[in-house]
Amino acid sequence: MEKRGVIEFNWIFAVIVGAAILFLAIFFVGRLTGTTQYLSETELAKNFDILLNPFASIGGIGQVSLAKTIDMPQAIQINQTCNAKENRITMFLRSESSIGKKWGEWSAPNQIYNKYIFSGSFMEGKSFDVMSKSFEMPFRIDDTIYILDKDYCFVNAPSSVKEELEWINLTKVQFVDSASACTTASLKVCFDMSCDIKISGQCVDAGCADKYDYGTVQKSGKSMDYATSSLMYAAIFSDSAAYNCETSRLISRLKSIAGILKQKASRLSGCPTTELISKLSDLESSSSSSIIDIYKISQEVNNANPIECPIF
Amino acid sequence: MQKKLANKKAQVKIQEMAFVLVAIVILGGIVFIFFSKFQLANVQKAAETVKQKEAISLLERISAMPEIKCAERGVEKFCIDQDKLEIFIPMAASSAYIKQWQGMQKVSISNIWPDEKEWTIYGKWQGNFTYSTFINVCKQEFKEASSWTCSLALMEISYS
Repeated sequence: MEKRGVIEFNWIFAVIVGAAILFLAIFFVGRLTGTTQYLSETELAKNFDILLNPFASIGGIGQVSLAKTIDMPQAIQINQTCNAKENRITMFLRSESSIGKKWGEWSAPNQIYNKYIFSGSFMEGKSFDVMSKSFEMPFRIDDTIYILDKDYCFVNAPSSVKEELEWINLTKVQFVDSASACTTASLKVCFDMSCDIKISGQCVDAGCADKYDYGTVQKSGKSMDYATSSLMYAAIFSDSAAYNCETSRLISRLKSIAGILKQKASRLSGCPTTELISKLSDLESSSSSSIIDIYKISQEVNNANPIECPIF
Repeated sequence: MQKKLANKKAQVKIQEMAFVLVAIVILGGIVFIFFSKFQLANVQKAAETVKQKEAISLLERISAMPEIKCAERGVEKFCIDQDKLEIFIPMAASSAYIKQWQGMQKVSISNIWPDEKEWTIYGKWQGNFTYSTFINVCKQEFKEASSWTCSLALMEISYS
């Protein structure tokens, strides 16, 4: 009887300790998997940022837009917020997981200071159209990057818009003559007509090359002022929070560059730059929050740029 | 007597099991330490690769910055404007631009021909790793017409 009791205690001890070791092993493997996933998502987020680098310097070789479809190995979700005060975008990224939950852990926040990205605050997909265009007002400020995760249907677009977007061959953009020809899931973009996104051109002054040089974009019940085609596309492809924040960042940069050009103009002896310096001062110190007002001042700056010794 | 013997036997068996378990735990610990070091090395390597890519792309971005790039009548030339560079340098460390350098130790442009001159855009100390590219640094002058005088320079970015 006592012998049986001794053997049983041995087995009980072995089972308890074995269970404890198994539990610890499974716990640590779980934690390790989580850490590895966090690491790989963070690396993916950083690589996505680096993938956008060519789009951020295309304006350096002219005004030409660049577009490319980025295909990811698996579906990803991107969450980004813009902070105008800190002059940055914070991007989080996570990818689809084949083990356990559908989506992995969110990556560590990736702070982006050197790009101006116009897109929805939350995007999901395996394939993204990325486009960039030089933003000039009137001198080049930087390149604006647009990330499209949805389909857009441009209804009766003006020839300038159609030629530019058709030439760069975006897969998520369709051009039609009437709204009924658009695919059901696509967002309709109409010019001077009501639909999902309405563009209203307001440029009717003598100096306007096109009616749509500046105007408003109405989307999801909100109205966004734009100036130049770069910001028109920005308002179409992003939400109002991202648009307002990124535009604010661009205006700060514009004022900084205006200050540099003003100092350069005063260094260039013999060159008639008095009027240009005055206009650049107006641009640098403009307190207007309206992008259209700033655009009008920038046009005066452009007209004051001396022909015999252009500063920009 | 028999009861005492049985108890001693049981205690010896339990002690044996305890020692085996301690040995397994120590072995597990050693394996875990090696694995952690391996993982840490992988993470450091990944961080190093990212920093390399950042340095290379920063070279391209700096040469395209409108703050220092040559431009005339809306057409950007492939050169750095010396006047704009000298005006920009005091601004490079300001809050508006400091984050552009993304943790790099030094960003500089050195004229190599015809005369030698160095402009340090950011930083003081040279890092352990350096990437560089040749560029033109040009100065705009005006005597009856606008002209540009250029020199060959080397732009360097270094990090540790």
